[in-house]
Amino acid sequence: MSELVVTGLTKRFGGLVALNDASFSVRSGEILGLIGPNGAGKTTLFNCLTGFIRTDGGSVEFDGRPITNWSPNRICALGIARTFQVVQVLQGMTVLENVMVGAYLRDGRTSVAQRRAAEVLDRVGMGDKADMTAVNLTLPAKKRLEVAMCLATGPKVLMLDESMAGLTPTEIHESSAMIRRLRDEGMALVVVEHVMEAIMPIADRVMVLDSGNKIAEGAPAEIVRDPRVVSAYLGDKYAERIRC
Amino acid sequence: MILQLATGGLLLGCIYGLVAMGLSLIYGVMGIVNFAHGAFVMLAMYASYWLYSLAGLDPVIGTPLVALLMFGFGIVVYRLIIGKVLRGPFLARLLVTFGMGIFFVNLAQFLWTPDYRMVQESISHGIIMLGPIFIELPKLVASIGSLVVAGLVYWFLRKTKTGLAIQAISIDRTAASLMGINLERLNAIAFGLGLACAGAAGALLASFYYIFPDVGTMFGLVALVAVALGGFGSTEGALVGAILIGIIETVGGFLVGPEYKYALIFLAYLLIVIVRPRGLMGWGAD
Amino acid sequence: MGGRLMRDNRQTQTIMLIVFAVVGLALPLVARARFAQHILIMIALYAVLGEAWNIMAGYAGMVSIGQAAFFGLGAYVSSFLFVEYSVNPWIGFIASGLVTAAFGTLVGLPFSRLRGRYFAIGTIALGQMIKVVFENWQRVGAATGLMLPLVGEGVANFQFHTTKLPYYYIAFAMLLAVIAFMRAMERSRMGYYFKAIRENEDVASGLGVNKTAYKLVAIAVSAGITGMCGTFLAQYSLYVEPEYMFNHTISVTIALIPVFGGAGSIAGPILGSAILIPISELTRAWLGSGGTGIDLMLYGAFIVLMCVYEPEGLMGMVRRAREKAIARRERRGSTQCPNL
Repeated sequence: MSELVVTGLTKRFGGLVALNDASFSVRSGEILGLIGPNGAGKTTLFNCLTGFIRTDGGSVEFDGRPITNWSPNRICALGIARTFQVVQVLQGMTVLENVMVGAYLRDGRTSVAQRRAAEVLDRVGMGDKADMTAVNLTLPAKKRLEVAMCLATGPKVLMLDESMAGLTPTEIHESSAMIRRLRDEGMALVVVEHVMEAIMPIADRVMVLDSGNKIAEGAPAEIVRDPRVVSAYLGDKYAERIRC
Repeated sequence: MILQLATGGLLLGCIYGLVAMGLSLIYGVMGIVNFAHGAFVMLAMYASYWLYSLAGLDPVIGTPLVALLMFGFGIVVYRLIIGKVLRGPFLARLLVTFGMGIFFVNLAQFLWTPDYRMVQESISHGIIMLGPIFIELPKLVASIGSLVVAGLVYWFLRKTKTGLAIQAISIDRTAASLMGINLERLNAIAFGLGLACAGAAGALLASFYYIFPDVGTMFGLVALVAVALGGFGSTEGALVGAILIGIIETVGGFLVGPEYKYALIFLAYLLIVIVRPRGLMGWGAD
Repeated sequence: MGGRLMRDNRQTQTIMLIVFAVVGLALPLVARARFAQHILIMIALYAVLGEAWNIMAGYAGMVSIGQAAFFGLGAYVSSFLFVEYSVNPWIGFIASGLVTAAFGTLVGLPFSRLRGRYFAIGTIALGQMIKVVFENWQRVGAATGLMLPLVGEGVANFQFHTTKLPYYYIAFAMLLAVIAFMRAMERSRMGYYFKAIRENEDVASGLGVNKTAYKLVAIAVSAGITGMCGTFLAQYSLYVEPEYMFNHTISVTIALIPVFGGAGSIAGPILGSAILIPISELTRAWLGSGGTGIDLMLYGAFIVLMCVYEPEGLMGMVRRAREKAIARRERRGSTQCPNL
């Protein structure tokens, strides 16, 4: 049972406060949805949590251990992996090689890494594409590859940044099923999403950011009815409708 | 004493600045680091020299002509070579200007031998005094000339339609082309303009500097460091960087020893770029 | 199913390697003229230099145009030890590798923060700086450099006067050793991590790769091998001086050879060296003696033409030819399953 606890996370870019005192936690076997309008600070939050940006305040603890401002590779070694908002894979390498890079983290032997990578690929349903060069993949395949790369590092927490963007409804359905499977297997998941139909059905809890502030947190059903959330997304006019 | 050196460095820096501006322009518009830039300065110096020897044209007065010649030459080089590598891999784009540099330096050596040449009687000669400081007139004229040309380029970039289009390309190539800007034509113009800057600097230098095939190499390297120092993508940064280098060269050279002055410049580059990987004022991407 | 491509490629590679080793060992016995053997030695040496460059640039993505800094440093370390303290050149050989690797690591610490162009320009700056330092350092001969004393000929002394053959075999042995290392590296975690860093540093970081550490390793190994090559040339020419050992053209050639042959592959630098070095040596011998510069003019023109018309180098040409053959085969026999 692992737990990621974030307390009072703050990040400023010059005069702009991108993240203001954000706090939340997530534990094994649960999906935390992270939603909010564009520019709300979701990706900034990810970047701070995973060591890609230095924070200006607050703390991050994993399994009781403070990991604030650790380097990305140390955080990954600890068991937190993330995907990127614009899908990033290692373009010039094959699918198998991509996943092997992740697999090497837990065991430096090539034969072991190769085997584990093949297993992960089968697990996400990409075994047949193992020898394809990553640059030739379709967008959904690249996103799935990104997840496979993360899984190969043996994470306890998986953070997905807009993994459903650009997918067709069928693909979204498959992707959601995979995320749910991972949750059932014990993974802690933080999922940033814009596609509401994708995240609301699968999330256990949802957190809403707006302009760097956390404005709501709770079960999906409560969040959609929260007037502050509606106002942030659609404006006060629609929030009024909710209150009636 | 320091003031004397700093002034000398400032003047030198202005000339470096013009060269650097040309380099920065080329990089900003088409992403090519022109490692042959110094060779083009050298070619302009020779052009000035031959115009002087054969036609009696004073280098300083001939500067506009030489700049124009280099502009045209730049367009030709762009069409024949640069335009064709732009779509190629990074390493090809990096190495092609190296090749051009090696070619032109050795072409000069082949055509004109490694002998040192000098313009003997330029109209700008002598020393003037500004307060307690001695200033060599040729250097002053060259650096003022450089600033004038730099100013002209600046004006062109910011006030004319073509210039603004060039700026647009260097900020966002895709957006610019989507707005109907003819990338190929403007790339060529920008490259020509960059060489014209090198040409003007070369012509001004010819009035007092030794001319030999390898003379441009140092100018090219200094311009490169100046652009990197100021930050790729910022023409003002290149000028600031160049002036900084001029001062480091003269003052530092005096403090540490003239043989080490170039080592000092490179050391300054390394220090600044490491502390501030984007340079002093740059926003340029890789 | 996965990995079959890797295994097939590896088998082909092993066969080609054996053929190469046999041919390489036999070559100097066929080409007996001193000049021909000189060219072979230079081909082997620059192939090693190209492979070393490849480690940093082709695999780990850090393009260096200043390898001469490491090359010259290695040459000076062993030569200085030999001239001043009579240290056996073989010990100097190892020492130069270690010292250069250490220097590379030291320099690499700040350099690893630089990306792309800034890194490349930084290496140029480094190359120039170190040349200036050595040109003015009296203790190591300043601009005049050091002359290595002639001692008895023999392997133990790393000097041969009557024949160039042993020099060739030493250089070839170095090449085989580097190739063996590269093959092992390609299949290892280190090799994969290097490639990941080259492709996308941030993704690599997010997957647990300590990019700074691995970048430093790449630089250190590359620098160390390059330094040892410097020692070889010092023992071959029996003198070292800044203009000879720290020359900018060496750096450009070292970068050019793998690019021409195809960066990121083991065969690339060998192919590149095998073609470029004879061209450069022959043009220098025929045209360069008058100091006219024609040979370098051709060299420069060649670089430009190559970048414009064949930017991916020879391996790129090979790859395209192979892809065309596969496409042709697929068109001809659509019922045949292509090699999966």
